[in-house]
Amino acid sequence: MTLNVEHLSFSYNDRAILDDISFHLPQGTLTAILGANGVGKSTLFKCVLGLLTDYDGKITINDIETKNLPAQQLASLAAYIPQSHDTAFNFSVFDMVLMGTTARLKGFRVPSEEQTKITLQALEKLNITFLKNRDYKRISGGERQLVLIARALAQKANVLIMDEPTANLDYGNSLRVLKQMRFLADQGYTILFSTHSPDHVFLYADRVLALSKQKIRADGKPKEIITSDLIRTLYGVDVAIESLHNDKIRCCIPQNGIL
Amino acid sequence: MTLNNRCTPFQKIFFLTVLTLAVILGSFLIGRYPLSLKEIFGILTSKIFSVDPFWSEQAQTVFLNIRAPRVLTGCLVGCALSAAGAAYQGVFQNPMASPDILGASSGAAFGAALALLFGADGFVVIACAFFFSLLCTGTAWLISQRTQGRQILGLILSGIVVGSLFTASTSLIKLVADPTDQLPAITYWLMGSLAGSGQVTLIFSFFVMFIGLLPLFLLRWKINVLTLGDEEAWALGVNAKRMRLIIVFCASLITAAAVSISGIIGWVGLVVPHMARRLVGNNYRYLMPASMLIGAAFLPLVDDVARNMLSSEIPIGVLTAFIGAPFFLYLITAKGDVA
Repeated sequence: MTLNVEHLSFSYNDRAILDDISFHLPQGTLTAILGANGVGKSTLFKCVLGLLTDYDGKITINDIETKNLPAQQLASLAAYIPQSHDTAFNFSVFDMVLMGTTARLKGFRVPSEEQTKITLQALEKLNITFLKNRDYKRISGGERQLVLIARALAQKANVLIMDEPTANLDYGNSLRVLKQMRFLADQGYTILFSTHSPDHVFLYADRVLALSKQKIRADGKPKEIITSDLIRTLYGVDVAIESLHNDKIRCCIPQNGIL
Repeated sequence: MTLNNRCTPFQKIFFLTVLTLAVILGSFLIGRYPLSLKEIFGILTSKIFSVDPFWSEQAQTVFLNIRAPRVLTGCLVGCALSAAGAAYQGVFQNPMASPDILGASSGAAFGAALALLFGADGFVVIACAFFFSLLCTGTAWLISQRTQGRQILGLILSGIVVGSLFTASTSLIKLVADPTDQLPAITYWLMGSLAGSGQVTLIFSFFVMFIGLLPLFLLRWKINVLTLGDEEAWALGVNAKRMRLIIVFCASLITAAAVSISGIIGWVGLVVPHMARRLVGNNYRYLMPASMLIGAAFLPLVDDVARNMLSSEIPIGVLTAFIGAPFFLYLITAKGDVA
């Protein structure tokens, strides 16, 4: 499963949001999108997910053009994992994950044994089977994020789109969620996620797309393209990039008068 | 609560089915003209086999023309209002939604008042109420298509606006209505009653409600997904806009049929789905049938009280409010989530 975006442009009320964006994600890559608030990361996701269709350019998943696909067909190609959120009604974790199977349920069918099995496998894969009978409203933000990932797995789509998966999560949960994402990419899922932490990108991502002023400013391996210059272009702050443990790890150190 | 946790949702639905059938049977028996089980059984079997009548002619007339249509109409109305309430709560992502959220009741009230003003009675009043109820929700829907921002909010707001315009028009009709006969007729209609039910209204409501209830039952799993919001629903494979249109249409259709037959019966569509939520949880797979069954038992039960407690009949809409409001207070103050 590959995700291909060619010459994508989108404007809202004559204001350009995305301008001629192209990238290709091969199967099994964990790709991060970096960019300031409001730079168009969500818009890009909405175009890929078919929530916005009045764009120019071409988006294909596995060589299938997604623009005018019906919801159900699109959902079996790409899954969306929102930030861990609250719901209007309380569902059990099991039911929440079971909803992922809707993408492959025909017509008036309700989930049956097969879907139950898929759901249990998804929970198992993320090691959260113990949450099965808990209330979604009563688990922590980190657990919710894992439940939403499990739901995407139950959807059996190979492309996963994640909107700031570590937002609102504590330090430990952020790392746990990122570790699971790495694990899933290694298993063959193609993952595209937005983040505001270059350090997380250094730690886990194969690739990074840097978005600024409607265009992709840089695209490549994190170590090759995340520089203090790039961070200044994206966010307007000065940082030093430090290398640790024989360059196994890199991280950003802010330069606002601390050092 | 222990019983609640020990049974599977499936067993609970079965239990509710038995309960509903028992309420129907029980309601057949009681009334100003008491009937025995044996008589009812005899009358029913005589419709299929030839049985020597051991019951009076009067018993047969009471049962077939008055008692049975009324009880069964009560079942259908209760079932419809509860199913519509549960459906609206889901598609509006709002546990406080009730069947008149889009002005279905206000429209029906206006239609009935208008018909009564022109001296109509019987089925004409029902047809007129039904038409204006659909007109009211339809108008609210059309206006909501032009509102900016969140579609759900636009729909709720236009429902309130259109509903209040119809309510104002109803007040105007009351003002010009003849205070000796028309005004009381309108006022009684607005208080709600199942007394007008007969075989014709039963057949009418059965067909209309079947058309609306069947899709709501079949699409119940998709309502779960709709409660997560439009974008998430889309990404999970459900076209939220289209699905909501289908569900709101079905719910509005059965609400219109219900209120046009029975008048304004409040609280049922809000309280019954919440009873069902307590019993089987928020998963519409079980919530929808549970709401339908509880509603189908609840309204005939309340109607039993309405027609038997005092020497003159109590309007059922008054009773459902007296029972529903305190019960809802209990629900929102008792342990556990409201939704």
